[in-house]
Amino acid sequence: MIIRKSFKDIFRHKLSSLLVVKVTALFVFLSLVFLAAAYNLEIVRKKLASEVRVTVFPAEGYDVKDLAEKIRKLEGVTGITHMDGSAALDLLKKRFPDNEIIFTTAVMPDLVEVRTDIGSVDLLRKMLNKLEGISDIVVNTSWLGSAINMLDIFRYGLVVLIVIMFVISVALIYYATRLGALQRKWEITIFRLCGATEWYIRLPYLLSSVVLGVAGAVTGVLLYYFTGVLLGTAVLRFSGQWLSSFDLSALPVYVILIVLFVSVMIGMIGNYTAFLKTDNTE
Amino acid sequence: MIIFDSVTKMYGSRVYALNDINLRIDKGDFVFVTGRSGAGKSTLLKLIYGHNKPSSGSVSVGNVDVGSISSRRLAYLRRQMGIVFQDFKLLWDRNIFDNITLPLSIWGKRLPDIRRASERIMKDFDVWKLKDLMPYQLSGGEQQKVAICRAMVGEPWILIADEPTGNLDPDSTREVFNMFNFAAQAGTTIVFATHNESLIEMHRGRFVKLEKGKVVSS
Ligand SMILES: Nc1ncnc2c1ncn2[C@@H]1O[C@H](COP(=O)(O)OP(=O)(O)OP(=O)(O)O)[C@@H](O)[C@H]1O
Ligand SMILES: [Mg+2]
Repeated sequence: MIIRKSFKDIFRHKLSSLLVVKVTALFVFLSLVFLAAAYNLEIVRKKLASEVRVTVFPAEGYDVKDLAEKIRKLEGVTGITHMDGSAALDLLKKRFPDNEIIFTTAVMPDLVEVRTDIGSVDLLRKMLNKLEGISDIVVNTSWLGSAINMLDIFRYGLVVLIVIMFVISVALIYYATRLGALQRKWEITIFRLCGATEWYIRLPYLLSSVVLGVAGAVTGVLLYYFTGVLLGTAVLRFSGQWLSSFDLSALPVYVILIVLFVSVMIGMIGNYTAFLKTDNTE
Repeated sequence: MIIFDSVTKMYGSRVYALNDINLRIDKGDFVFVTGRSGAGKSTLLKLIYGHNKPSSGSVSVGNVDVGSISSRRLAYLRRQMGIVFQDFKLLWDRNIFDNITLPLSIWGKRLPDIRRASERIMKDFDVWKLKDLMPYQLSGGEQQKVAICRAMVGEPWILIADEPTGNLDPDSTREVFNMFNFAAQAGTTIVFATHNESLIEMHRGRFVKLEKGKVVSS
């Protein structure tokens, strides 16, 4: 009976119901998009931060392979490759026999390329300085630092946007529920005069606000996945490789659940406060 | 039995809507509450059905102190009352049958009982033919008859009416008044606020006259 009344109530107040669904959907959709963007930027940032390259040139008379083995054991090293300059030249000569003349005059240095993350790079450089048999160390982190800084600013911007959006949607939902409450005030007054208990009056509104909240939230999530898939394929097509890790649908399930929960709560709180305002007994 | 015991009602800190009212309305009384605009008629009624609480003193309805009960008990107390207003207070999106049976369905009565009770009262007052119409399809007089049917369908022992004929023409006014007389004959206690002169002339029962928040005759 009460459940049937809740559904009737939704259809009776189509305008405000629709508004609540739309606002909730929009809130869920935009928060998910922004959260996903922030989340993916975090991944990109981690990836960038973990891909600092340090190039080490061995001193005269030291074997590049031995040096590489020594460096491999150092703390903070996440990957290592080395190149034997003369061996590399031989390889090139073999692969491009027509251009052999170029390679005979060319010189290729021996080098070790070390991968590390941005947090360990200073320590690593100190340790490398202590190591014997190194002629030169090249670390190029300046562009990386500014790139990461930019990403961070971008991410904070997204967080600020989410907060602003949150405030706007709360205001909109409050407005929507106030609109509904205005429509309902007449009805609630009459119900009270006919001897309805508070629970009898509240339960349908609470139930219908949960239903509307869930409907809006589900719409938002569907919208999010839909655009996620579309955008995902578009991004892949235009950017090819390097953005492929940028996956809009990769948001962890618990984040989506939290957003759903928050949106349903917004709806319920908005509805309830608007409902309290209809209480006109003194 | 309705008892006002030294009841004062203030709105804000300066307006005395009712000032030290002592009043006793016995079961089966048909009481007219009269007085000029602003005399406190509506306020008196609101205290009976618990919309307002007295600022001091107490109002008891059938041995229940209306001003101090929980909202839940107030809801159940209102099931013993029927309340009628000048503006009818019908639900615009429900038909006449649903409007009249609203109290019974709120109280959780079974459909056959609801049908039986409402059919009887609707036929008594000749609104049965309107049952499938919407309120906006009715004249003011018919709307008020519907509202009174709704107030009576639960067989309350008190009927409270706040200027129920304020928006009606003389014919409808007489018809509405007859409905209350019908209920009075059945033993219902009625508190009827009005300043309609022709009704005041017709009324054969008790009068409570208010002036600036005080009872000047009763
Ligand atoms: N909610 C309120 N807030 C402040 N003052 C109020 C309120 N309701 C009534 N009053 C004041 O209390 C006094 C009595 O009002 P009440 O409505 O009881 O008069 P009334 O006799 O019903 O008048 P009318 O015949 O015009 O309906 C008036 O002075 C009115 O202005
Ligand atoms: Mg009045």
